[in-house]
Amino acid sequence: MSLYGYGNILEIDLSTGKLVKRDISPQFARDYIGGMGFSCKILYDEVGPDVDPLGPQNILIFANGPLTGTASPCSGRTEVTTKSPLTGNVGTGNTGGLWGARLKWAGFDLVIVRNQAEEPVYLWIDDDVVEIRDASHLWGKDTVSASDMLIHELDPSLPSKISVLTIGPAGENLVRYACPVNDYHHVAGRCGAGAVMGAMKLKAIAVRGTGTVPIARPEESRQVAREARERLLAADRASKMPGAPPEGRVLSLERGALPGKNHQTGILPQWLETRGRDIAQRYVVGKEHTCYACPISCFNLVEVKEGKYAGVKAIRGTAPGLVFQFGAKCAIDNLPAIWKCKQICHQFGLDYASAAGSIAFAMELFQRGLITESDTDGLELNWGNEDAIIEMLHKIAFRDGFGDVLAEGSQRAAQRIGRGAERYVMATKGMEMMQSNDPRSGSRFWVFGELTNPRGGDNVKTTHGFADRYNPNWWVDEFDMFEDVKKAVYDMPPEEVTHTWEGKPLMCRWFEDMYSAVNALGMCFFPVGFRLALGPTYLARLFSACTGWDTTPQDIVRFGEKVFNLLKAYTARQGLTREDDVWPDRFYEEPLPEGPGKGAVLSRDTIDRLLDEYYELRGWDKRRGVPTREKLIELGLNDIADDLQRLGKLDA
Amino acid sequence: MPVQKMLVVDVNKCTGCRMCEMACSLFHEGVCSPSLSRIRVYERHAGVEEITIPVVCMHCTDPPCVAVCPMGGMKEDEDTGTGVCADVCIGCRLCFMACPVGAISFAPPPNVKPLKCDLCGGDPQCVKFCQTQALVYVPVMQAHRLRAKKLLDHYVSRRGETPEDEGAAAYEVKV
Repeated sequence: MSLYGYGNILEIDLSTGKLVKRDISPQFARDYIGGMGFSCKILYDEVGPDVDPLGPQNILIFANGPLTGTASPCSGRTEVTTKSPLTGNVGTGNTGGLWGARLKWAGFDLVIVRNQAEEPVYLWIDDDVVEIRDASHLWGKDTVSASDMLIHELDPSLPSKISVLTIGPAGENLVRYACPVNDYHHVAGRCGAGAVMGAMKLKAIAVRGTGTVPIARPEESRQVAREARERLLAADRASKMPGAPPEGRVLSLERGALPGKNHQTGILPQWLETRGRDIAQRYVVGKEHTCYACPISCFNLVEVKEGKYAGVKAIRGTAPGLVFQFGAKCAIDNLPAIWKCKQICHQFGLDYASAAGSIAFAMELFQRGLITESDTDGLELNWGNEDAIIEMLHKIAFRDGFGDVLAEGSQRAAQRIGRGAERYVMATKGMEMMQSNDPRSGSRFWVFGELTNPRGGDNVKTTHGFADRYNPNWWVDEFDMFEDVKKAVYDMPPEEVTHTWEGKPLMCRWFEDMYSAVNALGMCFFPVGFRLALGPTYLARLFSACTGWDTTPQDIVRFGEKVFNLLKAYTARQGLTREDDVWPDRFYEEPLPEGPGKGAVLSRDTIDRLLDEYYELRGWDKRRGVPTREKLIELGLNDIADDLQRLGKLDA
Repeated sequence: MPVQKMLVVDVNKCTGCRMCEMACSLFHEGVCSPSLSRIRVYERHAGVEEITIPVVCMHCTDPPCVAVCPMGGMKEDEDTGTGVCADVCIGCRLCFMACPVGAISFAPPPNVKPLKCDLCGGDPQCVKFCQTQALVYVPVMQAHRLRAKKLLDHYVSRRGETPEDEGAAAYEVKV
């Protein structure tokens, strides 16, 4: 490696078997930083708007950041980018575990896979020795079996230091929201990268890395890493003290904003009593395991010891996200069944939010009589029918019968079904909504970011955090955020922040830039958006000490803005405009029927005004909802500005 | 001077974050590299379950690594009591073979340097980076209390239960 912090590039052509290793040019690193910055630039340059995501012209990019695999806290993240088979738009997700760090120690920050193999293969990266190997004995295996087999075959003398990233049957069968799973339970989700791997016949990538990441200023790096870590731990403690806001399942219920039954209702009976955190705690059996370099362990292992699901183990058992999917959207009323669904999704390599969303969509059609048992292969898709849902997951993974329809995602499934089914597709920009908050009554900051997320489907690249949830133990004075932003966003009683639209466009822009910066750097956004502990000041110090490039907090925000605009540019070229920054009609036309959010409905005028404010803050063209030429040039994205101009995607 | 403190590893608390490896290599070698760390974290998977085990110098009272070094290069440190390697290594690897826990490793060729924990001269970096306190550096006379605490907590937490519920289970220690 010639640059401090950075690894090199590995390019694979699966049709010829050719492997090329290249140095990262200092200019490229300076311009695009890493992670999502690298991957979105490469995708933009190589994969145009007419490329079929499952065809040979799509590419698959794995991108670390300069901080991946270093002493920075929470620095175990890797971006996985491709053109999404689900949305036909940029598909970019982020994964943790150890895989990315080991890739870095093997010497690589970028892996670019092109074309398709004729027979199943896997990639074996053993430090600087890279091979494409036959994977026919692995094809058909679920992600756990494939990982076990591969680790055993590559390094039979345990303990090994190999990380495996693999698809399961869902990816092999080109389910449009299939995803790769690394280190057994980490996932780059949402966009269907698993299906792209399936189309490429790339079963897995196994990595062993024993090399070094040279650091420009080691002593300073260690010092800053320690300070950042201690700050994060202090914020983490503050999140558990009395007065801290309750967990997501409680908050969402309080607002009457559960995504109940495909977003038909905001409350569900016995929600906390059967699906709350207290219930989940009873099943915890294992200590929490973390991604590389993370001191705060966001998940833990649960096990169901008796009853119908005895033996089911699930990682991240106490996390709420999954419960909103199978437990609210599909209305399954018990945690063991919900964990069983998660286990199936992990083993098959299925994005559980899109799987649950597609099934919930079908369940609403079933409820309304638009489809019947004759369509669903005899399965009674009634709310909460866990047996039917579990069987449906199997059918989706193997494209069996009605599973073949739902494997296309709810938007395409609706087109196939007809009969007015489109009305019940709960998706944004073609991707199933992963909301744990109904937009009509949910937390304003949280929901607004779903509209603005360029890749659609959720707020994960935008407002997936707790910056609006008042915690008296750790509040605005502690946040690593510019003073003018703090003043503009938090100038109201703290309890009101979560309830009002006031200031949310600016807050959204801030966290979009922060999250883009963090993704580019190879770090996790949890310390930034959930614990509010790290922001531009710490990121600047970590980056400077690692690379030796003196960077200010303002620089961090600027390149975060650049990376976000890069992400947006792809969607603009794909033809998405302001009209796509929208929720399904239901949320503007149907008031919530019951609960604390009863009567709540979105006003198109209000949302339009918020979007106007947001586009203005971003310096974007309000009419089209895309970056202006001036903004792109200001950010140094000149060739992209020219390209978009040429294609008529920008206003003159 | 008798050894005052000892490094204690509680495997059950290890979350596999690998910060100890990073802190060690950064402090000693100035780079981030698990292969240059004197402490190694090993993993085993069983389905979704994972066990991670840190292996590090247990700084034996009469260190075998010191006893076997033919160059006399491995010496018992006065303050910490641990074997500390001087710059006369010939790469015979006797220290590596003598270590009962497998805590000595080697830097990749062309180096012949053994990677041997020296407790950072008395202020171990790995301990500072271990959030879960799977690694602690505690006074020798107090270390046993860490282990006893588990049993004490167990008994205290079971006090509220009725006699029928106790039975033999009351004497099991959940790890």
